[in-house]
Amino acid sequence: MACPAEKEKAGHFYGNREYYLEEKIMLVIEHLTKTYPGGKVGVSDLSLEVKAGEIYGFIGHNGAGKTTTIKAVVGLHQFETGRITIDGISISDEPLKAKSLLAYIPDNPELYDNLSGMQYLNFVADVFRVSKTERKEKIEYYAKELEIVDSLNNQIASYSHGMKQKLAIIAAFLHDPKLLIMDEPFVGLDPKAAFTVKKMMREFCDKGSAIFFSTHVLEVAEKLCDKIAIIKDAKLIASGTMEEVKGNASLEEVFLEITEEAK
Amino acid sequence: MRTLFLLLRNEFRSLVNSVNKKNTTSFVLAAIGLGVAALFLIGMFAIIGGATAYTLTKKGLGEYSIFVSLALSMIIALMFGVMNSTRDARSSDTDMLLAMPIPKSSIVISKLLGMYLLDVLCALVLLVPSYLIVWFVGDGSAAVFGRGLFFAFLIPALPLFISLLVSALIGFLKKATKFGQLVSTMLSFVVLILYMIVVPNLSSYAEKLNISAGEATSIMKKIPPFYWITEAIYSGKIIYVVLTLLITLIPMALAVYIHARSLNGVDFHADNSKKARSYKSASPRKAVLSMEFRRYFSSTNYIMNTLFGTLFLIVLTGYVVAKGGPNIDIVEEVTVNGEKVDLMTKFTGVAWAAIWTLFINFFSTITITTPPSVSMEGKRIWINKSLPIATKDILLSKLLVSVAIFQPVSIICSIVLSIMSRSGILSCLLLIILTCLFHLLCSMVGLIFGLVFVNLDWTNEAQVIKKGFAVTLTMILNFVFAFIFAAGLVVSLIIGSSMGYAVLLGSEILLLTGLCIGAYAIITHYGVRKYESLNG
Repeated sequence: MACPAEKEKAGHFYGNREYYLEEKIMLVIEHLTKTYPGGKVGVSDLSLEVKAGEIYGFIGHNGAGKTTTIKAVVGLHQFETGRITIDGISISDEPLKAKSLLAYIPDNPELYDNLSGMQYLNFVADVFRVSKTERKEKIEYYAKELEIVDSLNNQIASYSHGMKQKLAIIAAFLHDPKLLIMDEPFVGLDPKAAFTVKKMMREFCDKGSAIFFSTHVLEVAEKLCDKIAIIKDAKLIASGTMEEVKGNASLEEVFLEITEEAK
Repeated sequence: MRTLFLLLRNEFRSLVNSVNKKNTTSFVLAAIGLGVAALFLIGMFAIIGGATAYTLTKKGLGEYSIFVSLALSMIIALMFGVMNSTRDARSSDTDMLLAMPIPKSSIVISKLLGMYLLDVLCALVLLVPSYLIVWFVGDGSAAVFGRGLFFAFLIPALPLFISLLVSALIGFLKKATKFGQLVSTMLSFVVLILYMIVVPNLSSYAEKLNISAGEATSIMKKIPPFYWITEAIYSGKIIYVVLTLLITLIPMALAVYIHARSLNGVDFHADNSKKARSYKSASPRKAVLSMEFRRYFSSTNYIMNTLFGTLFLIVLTGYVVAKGGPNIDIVEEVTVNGEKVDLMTKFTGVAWAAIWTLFINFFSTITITTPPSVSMEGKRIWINKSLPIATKDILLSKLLVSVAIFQPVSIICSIVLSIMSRSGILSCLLLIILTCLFHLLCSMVGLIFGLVFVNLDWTNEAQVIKKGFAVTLTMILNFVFAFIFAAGLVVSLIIGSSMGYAVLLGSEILLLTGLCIGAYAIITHYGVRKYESLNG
């Protein structure tokens, strides 16, 4: 399933995955606080770590602070206090270097409507300096996997929400990011595409990268994530491995229990 | 009928709310404000139409006065119709309406009725004064007035049909061809240029007040449909009445048909799946710049609002070349102490450089693309902000688009104008440096205002391109710059020496360079910080 170009690059890694995963921390959020103009607290004193090879789920109610945290991580939101590093590089101090290591898929991918899908992918590949051969190989591979090959030359304006989501996913995988940040990645995807994306996510992390994503679908989080964090009213109320957070109960039960307790 | 009434009420509410977006005033007050503005426009048109009709009718050309008013009303309706047609016929609320238990005929009629009533209003405003004047001052009658009033309600069908046809054609071109957007923009320009040519010519017909009745008839017969309608109103001959009914009722039926088809969402979409995919690569900076160019050239609104200066400059240069030099009448007619002085011989090269700078700078002020450029990113700003692109590069790419749209044309025209006015190499260089610096400054000012008054939360790009505060403020400030230079030019003309012009141009270069450096510093410091703080 992995893209041929990626397999070649990741060759060195397959042999010593456990060691690699122990050592590398791809995302560190330390005491993050973000207050919006008007005084509303978006995130309060949030800290967490995402290691290489991990799929880290981020769950919480609407308005709990998931998107605010994600936007701060990718450099869309400025924040007052705290520190965010991507593979050791601070997003505040060296934003360009940090951004070159990550990829972001927003919850509602507003893309350039007047471009074709292909033109958009070429733009992203240009920004990340992906070579012509590599981009060709990856675009063809991922477009085939997500079944939008025939639509790539059409204008994005004619795309459905799901097709835009697929295009944003392909764009995110183009430059082999070390950290993939996804905000509600399965919204709008058809069941087959959602299944493919889940497989892509697992393979992506098995090669040594990491994923930090928010979701409302607790079943998906339970099956897919290595670690999980629960946020409520801008504060982190639980985090750890799936076993640490939920024990033998279902994630849904634990989530409802924890969020009720935190009231 | 009830649903039609509800839809019409919604159209009216949307119209009023469009001038009261922020709910700063009550609905009634906004409606009254809109009504006052409409009355002002109506009054203005009525006065112009009435004055022309009165002068012509006094000369015994009552029928011709009706013809002129009729032609004017048709062309204005056509102009507004075609300008509107550059927008999508299938508006965003159509799908929602089609999903409701509303007859499709009601949706079609409610959408068409808005456009039709506006055209009827325009026709009545221009025609009724003519009918009344012909009735009371000329040889008209109550019958002419009655027939005229009746046909005033049918006449708008013709421009409405043509504009819907153009709209359908543009819609087809946009979807079916690769360069559809560009073709539709060019088409809009052609319509605009035709309007600019036709309307002044039509007015010049009206200005020829000493023409005979025979000449007037010959002019009228040159445009048969207008002549038939005029005859139907004026003489009431059955043949012309039938012809008028045919050329108005058939287009009206076709207009309803075309609009109904557009509601059905006829898919002209080309099958691009077989098209070869291009994997051409470019550097990150080039990619960002080409994205800015694509954003500009993909928006008809954006182009239409910022390309006029370039067009006017080309027209001016073409005019000077066609005349064989800058022998402009106004310059030749200047008199000093009662004697006509040929200023052409007194103008030195540097004086021409100053004059051309003045013209080019004014054109420059309306060819700035930067004020809406930040807002144009809208909700897509996350793309640039999450990618590893330096904010400075993003802002400079916006600046470069503005420069690339105007300055190459400006440099070529400066060289041609300098050659035609024999102003010499040094003056030509001065002209190029000054106009380029001025345009650069205007673009930077536009970018700064664009950042200060940014609006990323728009639903229609016209909100930021046409109505944006940054656009208005930039234009005002740039006009002030241009006027300051014009005042300097007047002083130099009074002094009348080459030294005066040289001092003017030299000090302007120094001033512009200083301002450009200051503006660049603001963009790279404040601008970068401001852009980074934006949230889409």
